Amino acid sequence: MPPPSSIATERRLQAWGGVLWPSFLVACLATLLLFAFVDPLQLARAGAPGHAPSRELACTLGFFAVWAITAASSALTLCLVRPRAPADDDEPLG
Amino acid sequence: MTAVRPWLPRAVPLALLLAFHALPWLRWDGRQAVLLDLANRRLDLFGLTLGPGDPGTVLVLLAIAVTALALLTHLAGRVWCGHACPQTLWSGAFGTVAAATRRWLRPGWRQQAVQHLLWAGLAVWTGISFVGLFSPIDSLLARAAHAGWSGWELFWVVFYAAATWGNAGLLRQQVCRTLCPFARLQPLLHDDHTPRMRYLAPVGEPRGARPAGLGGIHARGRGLLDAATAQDYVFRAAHPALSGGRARFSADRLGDCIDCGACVQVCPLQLDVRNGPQADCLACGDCARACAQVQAQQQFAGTLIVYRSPARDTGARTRWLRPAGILLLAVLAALLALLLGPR
Repeated sequence: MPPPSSIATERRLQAWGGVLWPSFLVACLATLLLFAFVDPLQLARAGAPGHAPSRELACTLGFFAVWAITAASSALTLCLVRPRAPADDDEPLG
Repeated sequence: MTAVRPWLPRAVPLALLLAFHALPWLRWDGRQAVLLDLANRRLDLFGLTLGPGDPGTVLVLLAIAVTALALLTHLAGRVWCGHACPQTLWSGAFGTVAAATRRWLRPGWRQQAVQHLLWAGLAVWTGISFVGLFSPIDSLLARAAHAGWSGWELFWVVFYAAATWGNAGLLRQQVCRTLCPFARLQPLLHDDHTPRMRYLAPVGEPRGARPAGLGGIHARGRGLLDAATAQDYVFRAAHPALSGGRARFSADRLGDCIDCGACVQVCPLQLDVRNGPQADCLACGDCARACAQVQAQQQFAGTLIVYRSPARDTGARTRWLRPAGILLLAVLAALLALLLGPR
């Protein structure tokens, strides 16, 4: 039986990893698809007119934007599948 | 006794690690063989050149890779996890570096410093090889000498190096246990004909230390236990509190497991393979190699840990074509037709 502290660490790791890792994988795929169809420069010009970034920088920023969105979705899922906080047991019955 | 041993020697992870670092250096028709050139929006893949309007091919290639991995796992078990997954390769390399520094240096801050320095070197080299797949590697290295990297190149080398350092150096097999989606999905691909790491309880049980030179069960003519008795001994050894303690046996009744614990010690996940099949097992074969070594030292006849399917135990012949496999083959054939067929 592992000590409680390592169980707590594993839970925390699972929560962080469960949000960041799947969203990272999906973000990779989504970025690949996005920039296959859309020129990153076009997107950069639309998003930040007046600046002249390179395609690589636009791809990098685009990737992190997509990752932020997918991570938000993962985090919401994590919130929803977590058990509710236990009801207050000190409350007298009836 | 013949044991199927499809696990591969240590040379394979090393070869795969070197192959990753060699990949950006590979040339094809005078160009870099694998290059996702972001600046010019083109992907070079061993002579195949894809432009912006052609994401379908990349998706089909990805789907082929995923289907092939599923088929491999269905037929051969978790050979990917144990021998080819980047997480396994890099944590293996980081572990080897850590073990080597502990062998050469006394434990203390100096050993820690050397270890982390080597880890950092390995991580940065990994980051450079990775970015070399997006930005021509020769020019990348040439510009590294006089700090000529662009901001995004520097950022991705650092980001990828940090990710490597964290995943392979700190998290290690935690990733396999708690984070990997494939580890959760792969049991769906298994059936009774899929091989896995298994302990031969009828040969090994009852386990226990004994004086040297007694010989194995075959030499002593003890014979094999029936499966139910063997399982009972396994249960008693695994759960002494529940089963009222382990029974004691005279040395000549013992099985071939000398209970040395070598299999648990070498396991990257500290599993005890003797307690039965475990969902976390990566099928790396470290336990089987360690056990075979001990068994040879004891001059016993065989090995106690084998990589084989439960169906083989019942005497059934291995059926290669099973419903899940046929389905995966059909998907693979359809994807290949899509890739190679006329447009």
